[in-house]
Amino acid sequence: MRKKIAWLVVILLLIVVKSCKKDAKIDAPVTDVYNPTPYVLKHEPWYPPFNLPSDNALTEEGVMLGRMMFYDPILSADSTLSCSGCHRQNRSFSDSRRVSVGITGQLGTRNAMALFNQMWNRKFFWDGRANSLKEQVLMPIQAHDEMNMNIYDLIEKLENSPRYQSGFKKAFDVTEIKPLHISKALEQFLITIISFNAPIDKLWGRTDTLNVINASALRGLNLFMTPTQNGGADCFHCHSNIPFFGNTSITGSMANNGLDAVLTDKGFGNITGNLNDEGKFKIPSLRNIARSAPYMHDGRFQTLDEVLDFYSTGINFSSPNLDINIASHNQQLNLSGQQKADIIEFLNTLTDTTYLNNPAYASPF
Amino acid sequence: MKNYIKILLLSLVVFSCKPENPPPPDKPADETVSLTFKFTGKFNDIPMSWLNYVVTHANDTIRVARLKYLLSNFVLEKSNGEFVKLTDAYGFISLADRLDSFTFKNIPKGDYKSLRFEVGLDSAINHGNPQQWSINHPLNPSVNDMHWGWSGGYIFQIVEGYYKSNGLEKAFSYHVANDVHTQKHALVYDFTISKNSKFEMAVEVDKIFYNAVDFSIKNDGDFSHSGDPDLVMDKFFKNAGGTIQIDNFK
Repeated sequence: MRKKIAWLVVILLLIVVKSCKKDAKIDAPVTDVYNPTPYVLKHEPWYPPFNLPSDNALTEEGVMLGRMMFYDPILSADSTLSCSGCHRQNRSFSDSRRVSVGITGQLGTRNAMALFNQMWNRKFFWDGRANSLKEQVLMPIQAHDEMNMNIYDLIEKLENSPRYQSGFKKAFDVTEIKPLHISKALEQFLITIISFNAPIDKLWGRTDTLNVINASALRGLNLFMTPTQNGGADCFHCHSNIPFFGNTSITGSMANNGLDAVLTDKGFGNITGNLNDEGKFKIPSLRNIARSAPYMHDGRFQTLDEVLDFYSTGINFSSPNLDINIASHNQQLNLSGQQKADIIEFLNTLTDTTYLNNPAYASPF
Repeated sequence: MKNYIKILLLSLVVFSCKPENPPPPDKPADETVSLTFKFTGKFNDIPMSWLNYVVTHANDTIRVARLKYLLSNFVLEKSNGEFVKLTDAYGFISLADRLDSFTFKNIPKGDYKSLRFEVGLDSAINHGNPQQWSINHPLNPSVNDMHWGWSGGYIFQIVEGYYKSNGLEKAFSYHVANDVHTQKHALVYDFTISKNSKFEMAVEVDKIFYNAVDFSIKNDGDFSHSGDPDLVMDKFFKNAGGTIQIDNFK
């Protein structure tokens, strides 16, 4: 009988030892437990309706993990470049350089887009090559002329980092990191970056307009919202979804604005292979536009004055697939100096300093 | 002791074998089904190509590049004359983008003799807050890109494209909007709904330019955003009725 009990004790001990065996890959501190706190996303009454991703519930831990990775150069092949290297908060998370510069000094072909209100977008990048935020976030990491990071090498780096071992455990209850976990964490952080607190946002539902924006900005707003045929600048047909001053729609968010008579970059056409899409690029939101120079997909314009000069006298009407809303003008706008100044004054009312200085969006390091 | 164990084991077997909730009584057959509307743009009865030019009755050589509609107020008329108004039934189509269909649920089965709907929206909806609609609702501006911002209301119909003029390619753009431009369509058609069904609808683009009147893009104007007054829209809108027809019902 004693012999039997002894064997039983040995077997039990073996079971206990086996169950306590360390994970093959992760040496996670014992304090890291998966007990996520739901992240409460503020939804002010004037925000447009939105759906949070059903497969990626926002948590404090997930958002923080995404924020850490966004600011950490560990995401690049030589650990020198983070997402924030090209997306700087004080520039509306865009890049002041004409095109972005990769880890080996390679120049990209596009200006880094500003980042805010991403959960309302349906197409991502200037050429619309990603259809979801989850899909988008992994692309710059792996692009050769950007961060040039093999995703599985990145996983190895993250799994060897105590900070990220802990972060992924707390956010997703995983010790074996998958690309989707990286994607989800970055998605969570980017979803929290919201900009709806500019002077123009104080205008909703008010009639005392001049107490909110000045007379020049009001004239600019009227020019923005009036078709050319009625003496306006007709900006609103493309930047048409008014809460965004951009275009987040399924069907209308890509357009050719007539930059070039001969296309040097086919943009959306490269993605779809459709001749009708050549020369089309994403219509960006104009929020915080005064802070996100340079402008256009290739950063060719340094100032808003240059942008207004282009729309006033520089449209190439022979550009293939020129958007009908511009083509139907059938002539240059020929805006006066005062009209251009008024439009720029209006664009300044789209600057959201709360977002630009929000510490929740800043580096956690 | 052994008896207690036997009783315990027997109890476990009995409880584990207890049937799940008793089967529900015979459920009456579902009396409602879904109804899909699928639209095809046609020119002279031939499906439209959004890449090729066609010639209108007024001899304009045109290529339609955008053809978008907001539809509402769907009513089915039963054979006995009773009207079935579909609630929260809004449709958005953008035919050149291949967004050409939508489906309504909870349609009562039965025999019907007509279909009615409107291109456009009731005034309260038209001038209501466009952000009240959920992110994928057909009236959300992020879905349809057919709202003018603030109190401007919705565009009900967009017809845009290019036309040839003296060897040059120019653009035309007609945005039908404002409450007065709601288009009422009443199509007499016998149909029986006994299962999930589909209307195959034709948008007859040739009739947009030649129906009640012969509309010439070159001569009557290549642009209208439904101003007030707006002579171009006055003439363009005269052709609206009868441009959407039922091709088939399945």
